[in-house]
Amino acid sequence: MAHHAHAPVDDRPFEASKKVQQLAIGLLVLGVAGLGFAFTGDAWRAWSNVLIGGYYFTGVALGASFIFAVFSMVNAGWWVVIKRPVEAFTTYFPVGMVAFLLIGLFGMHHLYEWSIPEIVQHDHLLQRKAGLLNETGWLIRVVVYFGLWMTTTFFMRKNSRAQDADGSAVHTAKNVRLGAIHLVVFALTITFAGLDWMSSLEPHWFSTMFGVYQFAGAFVAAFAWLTLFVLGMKKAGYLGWVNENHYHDLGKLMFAFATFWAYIWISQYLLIWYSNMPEETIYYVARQSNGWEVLWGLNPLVRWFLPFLILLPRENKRRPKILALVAGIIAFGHWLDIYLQVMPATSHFAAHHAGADVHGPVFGLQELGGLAFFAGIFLLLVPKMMEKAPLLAANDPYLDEALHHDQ
Amino acid sequence: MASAAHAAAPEAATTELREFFVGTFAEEHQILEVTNEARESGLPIHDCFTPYPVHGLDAAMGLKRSWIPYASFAFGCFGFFLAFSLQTHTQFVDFDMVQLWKGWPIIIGGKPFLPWPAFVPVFFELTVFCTGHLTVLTYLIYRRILPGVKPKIHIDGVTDDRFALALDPTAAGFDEEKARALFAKYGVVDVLTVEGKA
Repeated sequence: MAHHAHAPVDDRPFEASKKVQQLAIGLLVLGVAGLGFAFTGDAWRAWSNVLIGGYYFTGVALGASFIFAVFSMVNAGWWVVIKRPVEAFTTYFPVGMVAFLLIGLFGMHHLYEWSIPEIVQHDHLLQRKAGLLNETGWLIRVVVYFGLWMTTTFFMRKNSRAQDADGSAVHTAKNVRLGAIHLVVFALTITFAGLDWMSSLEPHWFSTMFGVYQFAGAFVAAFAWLTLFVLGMKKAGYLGWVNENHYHDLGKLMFAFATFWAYIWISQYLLIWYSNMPEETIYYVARQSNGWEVLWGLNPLVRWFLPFLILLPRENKRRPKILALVAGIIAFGHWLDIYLQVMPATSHFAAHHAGADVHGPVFGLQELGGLAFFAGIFLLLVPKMMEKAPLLAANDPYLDEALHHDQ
Repeated sequence: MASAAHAAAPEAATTELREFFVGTFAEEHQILEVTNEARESGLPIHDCFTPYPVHGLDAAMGLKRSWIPYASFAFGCFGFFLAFSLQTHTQFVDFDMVQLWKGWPIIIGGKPFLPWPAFVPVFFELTVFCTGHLTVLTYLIYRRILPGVKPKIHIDGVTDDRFALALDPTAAGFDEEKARALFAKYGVVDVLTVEGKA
């Protein structure tokens, strides 16, 4: 029984696996090739995929920052053994910031119709929204969002590392306060970032569920990637102190928040469907026609139904292979979800304003490249960042509780 | 997770009183260790009694997984089916055969028949409602801990600060000397013979 004996604590420093690095470099090559190919063709499609890939992993990092903040704030015990991967995830923000600044500086006119003065000139609604939806404001807000996220997570990581050195419980108390601050910042910024980056692709449309929908997706995606990392590291012989009880918690959280995502998804859809007002339904009309309807139906299937069904039995939450399968499904589902938010909007915009010949879903090297590029960076960056800290937060006051986790 | 007071599989309820060989302990780790060793050494464990659910006690006692989650799943399916039939029936089924079952096709807000998005909240509510309530009821009935039911066995202190392991002296493998030695090894507070129902 694991709960009597102390779990074996192997403090071997983490080294990024050669295999993962090769995979990451392979993905980067594929990404550069795919995006390079995309930029030789339709600019709207290339930038759409930069947006999808950039937003995908920004979301994963954001979800991880939420995990970091909320688990610190509520004094969670069990997660201490997987704290370091969570911390490493939050180092991704600068990459996301560069991606969004590039979009803002060079790609905006291919994605956002409100950024084109000739269109705004003839559009009363866009003129009224120009106070929020203008290029300068958008760029400033990118810097502000990422600046805030980088600041709070930097100090939370710093406290966590300071505790490794001096063993003082003060750092845990400090992270309770910082976590609380980050949660307030997070709730506001992810809502506004979602509006800026995703919702404003269709500036005539609006949804009050949109902010929480962004959160629901990002949070569960962060758990999916965290699960993949933990299982991978465990397989490589690290994290010897992580056992099926910790898997069980990861499984439960994926299960719960996949369901939360479905709840938010149906809440947004149901209200719009019920009131049936054209300025709201236009979002779903675009996604339920021209071949998008298949992907639109697939989205809740992979983001909720399959994870829900597979993770329902207790034993499945404790089996690494099944957890990895579900995490993979959710990771794919998150991409599909963002793809479905971006592509119908940008392709419609391109077809109507740039004369692009596009009438339905597109998938090719461009889409693969956009995702692969950012996945490659993520897989290069996160293990490198984990090398910088001991894998076990040995002085965390909750470590003992985490090592004896049982359920 | 074991709520140890309700851990052993219930036998057919008998009114006959029997004797149990009980050791009480003061610490959580003692009950875990003594139960684990009792199981390993083949002493017949009747049940454990603890003031609160002790993590890992179910494994120490060698209990199998409960069948109640499967019942929960069935209740959930029942709730979903109930919500589905309730809504489809009341909104668009028009049975003429059975007068009592006669439904009424309704168009609300210009929505089509079988408008599935409108059904989702009710699917959710009735599924959760049936799963939750019926699972709790099943558990209470199965463990016979409904209000008014007298406890089968009474051991002083197990609702306060004592952890008790009850061995079955009539079962194969029981050896009083061995049991006493085992209890003593883990710092037993009291060794008792307690009357109770199986």
